[in-house]
Amino acid sequence: MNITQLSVFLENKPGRLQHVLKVLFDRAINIRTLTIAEVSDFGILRMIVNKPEEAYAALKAEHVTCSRTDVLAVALEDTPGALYRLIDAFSKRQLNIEYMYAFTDRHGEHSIMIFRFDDVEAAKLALGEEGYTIMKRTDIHGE
Amino acid sequence: MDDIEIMVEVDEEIFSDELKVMNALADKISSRMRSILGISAKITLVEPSTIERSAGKAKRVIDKRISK
Repeated sequence: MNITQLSVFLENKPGRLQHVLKVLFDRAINIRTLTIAEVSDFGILRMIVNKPEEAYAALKAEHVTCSRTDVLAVALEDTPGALYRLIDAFSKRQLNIEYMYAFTDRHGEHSIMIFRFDDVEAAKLALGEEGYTIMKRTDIHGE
Repeated sequence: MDDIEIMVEVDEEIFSDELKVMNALADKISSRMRSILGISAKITLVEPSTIERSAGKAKRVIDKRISK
């Protein structure tokens, strides 16, 4: 199974992010990583949490606009050029990345890249053929 | 000249995790307003329940013009 990212619509106003974080805190949901893409009036909070289905249900119950998106997680050596080589492989196969972000693993030995592709299955195939290991759901969510 | 801002509440049905899709949505609404009603309006995407609801007469228009 793929990694589930939660995406949340946030108005660019004080307290909106805090509200979302409070909903997660109240249910003891842990955020593994997050990123925010913003324009002038609003932003999209994208995050990976330990209990995505529970978090999704809780946010919906609080009338927060959110959705679930399949993303891929790849562990890379934390060395110069590792990301370049990976992106080069995508580029050669004409695979377009919608967006990406990163965090380090718990031991700090690897960078974990999160990728959002239009065509997840084509990206999985390409990663497999290039010898990359796609991280399992349990590796990321810890479920 | 007066300016019009239209607030559009974003629910899960129209929400996307991609900024380009959300921007395209606002552009599409703006374009439709211009072609159908002939007005140019700023489209602002807002969270659900932002627009005031009322049990009586709905207050959906906020007039910020200063009367002379």
